[in-house]
Amino acid sequence: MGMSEDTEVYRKHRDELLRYATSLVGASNSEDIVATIILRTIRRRPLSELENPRSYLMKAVLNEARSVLRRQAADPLPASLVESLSPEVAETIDAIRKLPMRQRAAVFLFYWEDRPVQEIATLMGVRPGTVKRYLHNARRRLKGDLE
Amino acid sequence: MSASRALEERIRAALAVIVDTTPVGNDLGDLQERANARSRSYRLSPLRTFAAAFVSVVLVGGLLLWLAPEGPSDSENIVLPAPSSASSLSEDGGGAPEPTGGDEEVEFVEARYEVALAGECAATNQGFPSATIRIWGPAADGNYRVELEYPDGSSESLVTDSLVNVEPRKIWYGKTGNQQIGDKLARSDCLDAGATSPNAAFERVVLLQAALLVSADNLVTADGASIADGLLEQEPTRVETVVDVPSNVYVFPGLRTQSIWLDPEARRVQKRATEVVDAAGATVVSETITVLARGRTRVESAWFDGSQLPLYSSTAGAGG
Repeated sequence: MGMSEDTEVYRKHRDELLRYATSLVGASNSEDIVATIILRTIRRRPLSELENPRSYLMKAVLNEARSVLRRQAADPLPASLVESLSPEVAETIDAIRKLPMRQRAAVFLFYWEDRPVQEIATLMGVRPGTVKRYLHNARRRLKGDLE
Repeated sequence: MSASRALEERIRAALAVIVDTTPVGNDLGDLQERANARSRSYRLSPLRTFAAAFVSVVLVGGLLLWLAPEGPSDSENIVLPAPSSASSLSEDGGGAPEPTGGDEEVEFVEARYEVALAGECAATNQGFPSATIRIWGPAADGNYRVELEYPDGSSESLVTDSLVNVEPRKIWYGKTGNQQIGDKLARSDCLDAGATSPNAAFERVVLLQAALLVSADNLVTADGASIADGLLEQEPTRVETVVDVPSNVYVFPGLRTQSIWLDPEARRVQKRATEVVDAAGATVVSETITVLARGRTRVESAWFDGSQLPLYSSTAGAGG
């Protein structure tokens, strides 16, 4: 196993990892997060030797995102973008970004990536029931914030 | 619609906006550098951070001033853009754009330039020494349109699905706007000495794109906001020199193109561009990332890869 195999694995999952990280911490930190977890993983063992690289890397992104947000606030959306949005969308974005990280991750994977609960549980490293709880709590909180 | 369904739709709409800000990924080999830069940034003290921010603002402000039009010159006279209402573009490329009304979800960028066309290709210029270039889009059909408007009101038009990913969808030519440029080129009556390419249409697009980039700070979104404002979020790491396009370049002799490099690894790539055109083939466009207003006034970055230009395939090595 070598660099070329690692490159292949990385390329295969890069975009999904970036989207995931962006949904969790914003665009400006997402590349840093992906770079960090990829390099950290490679230092330990080749990506190509991971049994389930997608699941491993998605979990790593979530963990790193939580770590980053402990150090700094989530990156705000560009002002020019926010100004272009309808108040309703801007308000919803704000509410989503206020969700606890794991709820935010579950919301992204469920509503954007359209992943089933079982798969989300695998990607987050929790039980399906826990994912359902994250989603339930997130919906309740969003509903309250957006009313 | 049920309340839960409505909430679900709101969530999806919001996530779409968030996801749209996802940056373009790096290659694996570039990650180490990014990680190093990141670790350095975490060590910045508040004072250093402030100092870095101050220097960045000064640098970027200087860049924008440097980019700002300096008034009439022999090669071009850039006119401030005139934001206008969204317009539709008929699919056959002919005729004037038709207003679509203010409620249409059509957003666009628009830039106008007054360009001297005192070149060797008088026929292309319709015999006029100058023309106004109007670059705008996307139109209702999603395409962008580049128009040369001559003093008598006639125009040439070029239709492309992107100003950046320069793959012209349709190119129209002539005063009536209903003649494909391919027909025109087939007559070879308007190729300058240096423009020996069998497909000068691409060259034309590149030059139009260069005109766009020369005065990118004149680009405005539908609500009149300057796209260049986004540059203020960006710290330039390299600014290339201004390059004079040889005078025998097709269509726009003497057009000066500017290479503007902003950090490709930066957090928000608002603009990265290099435009160097030489009809003799000595230098080519390498690559461009620039800012377009899409999805209403949402600003995104887009890729333009030299390999997408068959015209320059022989010098593909210059691509980034």
